[in-house]
Amino acid sequence: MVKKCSVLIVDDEPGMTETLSDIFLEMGHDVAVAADGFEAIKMVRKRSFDLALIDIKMPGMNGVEAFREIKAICPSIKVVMMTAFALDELIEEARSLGAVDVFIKPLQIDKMGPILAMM
Amino acid sequence: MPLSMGKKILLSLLVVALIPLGVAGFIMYRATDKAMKQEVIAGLSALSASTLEHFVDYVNEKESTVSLLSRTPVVYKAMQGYERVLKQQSPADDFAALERSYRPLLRFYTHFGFSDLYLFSTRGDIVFSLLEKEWVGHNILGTYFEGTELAVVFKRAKKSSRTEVSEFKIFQPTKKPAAFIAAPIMKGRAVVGFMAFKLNTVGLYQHVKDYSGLGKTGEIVLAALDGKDIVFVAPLRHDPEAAFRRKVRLGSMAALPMQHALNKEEGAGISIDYRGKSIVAVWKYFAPMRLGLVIKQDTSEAFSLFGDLRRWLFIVAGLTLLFVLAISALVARSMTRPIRALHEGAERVGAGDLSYRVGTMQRDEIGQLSRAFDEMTLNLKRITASRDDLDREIAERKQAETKLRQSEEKLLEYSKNLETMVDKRTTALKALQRKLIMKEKLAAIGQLSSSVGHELRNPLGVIGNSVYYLNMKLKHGDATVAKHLDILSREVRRSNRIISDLLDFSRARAPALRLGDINLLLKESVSAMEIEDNITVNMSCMAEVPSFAFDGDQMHQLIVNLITNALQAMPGGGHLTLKTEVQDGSVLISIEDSGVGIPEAERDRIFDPLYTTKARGTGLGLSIVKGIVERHGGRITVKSKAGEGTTFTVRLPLEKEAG
Repeated sequence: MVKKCSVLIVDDEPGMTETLSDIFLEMGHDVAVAADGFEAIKMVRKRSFDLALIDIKMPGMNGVEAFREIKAICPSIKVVMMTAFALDELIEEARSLGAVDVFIKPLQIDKMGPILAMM
Repeated sequence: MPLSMGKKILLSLLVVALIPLGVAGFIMYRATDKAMKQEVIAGLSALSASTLEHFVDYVNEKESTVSLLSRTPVVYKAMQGYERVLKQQSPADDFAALERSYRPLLRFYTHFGFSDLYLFSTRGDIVFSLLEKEWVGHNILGTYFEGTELAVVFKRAKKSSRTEVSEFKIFQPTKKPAAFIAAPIMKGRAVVGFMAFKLNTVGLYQHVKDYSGLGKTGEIVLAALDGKDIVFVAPLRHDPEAAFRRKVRLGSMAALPMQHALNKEEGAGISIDYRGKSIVAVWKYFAPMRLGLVIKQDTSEAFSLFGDLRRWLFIVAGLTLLFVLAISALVARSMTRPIRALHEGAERVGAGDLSYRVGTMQRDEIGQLSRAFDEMTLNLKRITASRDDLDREIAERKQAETKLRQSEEKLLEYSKNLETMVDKRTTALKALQRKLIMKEKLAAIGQLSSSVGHELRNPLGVIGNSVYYLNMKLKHGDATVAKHLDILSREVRRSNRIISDLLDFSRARAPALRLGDINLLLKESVSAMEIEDNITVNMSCMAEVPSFAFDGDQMHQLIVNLITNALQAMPGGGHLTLKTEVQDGSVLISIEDSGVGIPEAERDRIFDPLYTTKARGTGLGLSIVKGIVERHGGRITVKSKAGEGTTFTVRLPLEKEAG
């Protein structure tokens, strides 16, 4: 049985956050959702998360910037980046900042299993 | 041989200058000669006149003296006394007295220019002789004195009862030349006797020896007839012993002047004298003594002035000749030199040296000719230059013509080939046009697909998530629902693959080269693919390929695309064969299927983007493959046979070229 984790999902696409939160809830995890980077940072400041799924392309603040902020606030958090675009520079930056993985949408949720297992 | 122009000019100038000069010289010479001779003769004539006068005066003076003395009472008395003694009418002692009284006085009388004195009786008896005492008592008319000048003059004096002068001849009794003057001794009007003086020759010769006005060769000649000869009666300048010794024959050249004189003529002329020398002579008759007087001078001296003149004339003529020669030569040269220069110029110009100039400053006709010649040469040069230009132009035109002809030939050839070429070009242009259109099309598609693709991924992702959630919830539910969830899942993946193809195609990024094992990549790619069971995969012919640099992701996509195509070509199952081999520094990757094959007509276009023969598909797969191969510096070829299968062969270089 997988350990119960707290997961923060950050995406400006409501369909994405909604379906993902349902899936993680179904899996038995604790889920929080943020619609952009600023909101995510506020939430991380309030409480800690085990895992953050952050979309790279977001209005206002992109995922990589948000990742940097969040990581600064909560260094222990594991981050998985998501993107529908092959934004090579941002992907490379995210990897260098210590992202666990970068998933290209549509997500292969099964690949999430090993990551959750590490928690 | 023809004379040269210079010689002609010289000769004509000489002729022109010398003929008048010669004529004038000759006339002058002749006139001078005549005048000179006349002058000389006039001088000699004047001299002869005065000389003759001297002689006449001399003789007249002696004659007068004798006349005077004969009339003195002393003479009469002496005459009577000596006559009486001779007739012995007086005693001997009277003779002594006579001698004492008269002889000194009579001797004194001879001092008037005489050398002897004789007294004669009227009959001719010599009663007194100053020097020849033995003659006393002899008659002058006797045989002893016959023919002597003393006898002759006595007779003449007796006949005329006047003073008479004898000729000047050899006096036989003394064998010496002598002349006598006889005069009657008068008593009142009666002749009582005669007196005779012998002339002193010294006095006579004194005048002959007076050469004043006769130069160095002139002399006075006194000559008398002597039978068939003419005898010189006085000493000569050139022969002091000539008197009565030297003779010349009558009629001979040397005798002529004297002969004329003795003929009582007066005259002058040129002749030859006794010495055989040319002389100029003037002759006169010396009447009292019946002598010929000739005054002569050697022509060499008399005409010496003329000789000088002639010499000067010759010198002047010679100098004039030289001067004329020099001037003529100068004139001839001054005329021929420019002509020669012109001649040389003509030869030089004729030989082709058109830069030659005669270059003269002369203002005469030859100078004008020279300038005209120079101008002609200049014009010739200009003409030649323009002719050269013309020649050059002609040559250039000929060259151009040749080129034109060649061009025409080429043109003809081209026109023959034009149709073929046009066809070829048209084909090439069409291909190019197709490529261009394709490129533009692709660029548009690239942009569109990039944005559409990305935008589609989000909804696809949401759908995927939803399907995943439903699968979680309905895992053990209705089988039909489960089947539909699988369909949803599959179609989401397919949609995603289409989007991925589009995005890959539009991005066409440069390969990120890393060393890798192509065989391993092939195996992993095959194992990651869902291959139906009716397909047998053969991977037994994999050569040992060294690691080489390639982009793993792109190469993976290449393999997936090619295998996907192969699988799609074998819907009813078949054989898929993957091979690698190393050949000439390249690795060859072959993917072979046993499918339907590609018709030959379509083979050219299968790599074109958006070209597809399949019912489903973007038509980008092979285009992407080709792009990847090309970006790796390789090539892709296809072999296919309808109904038997297709083989794609990718050739990649093992060593990337630098850069």
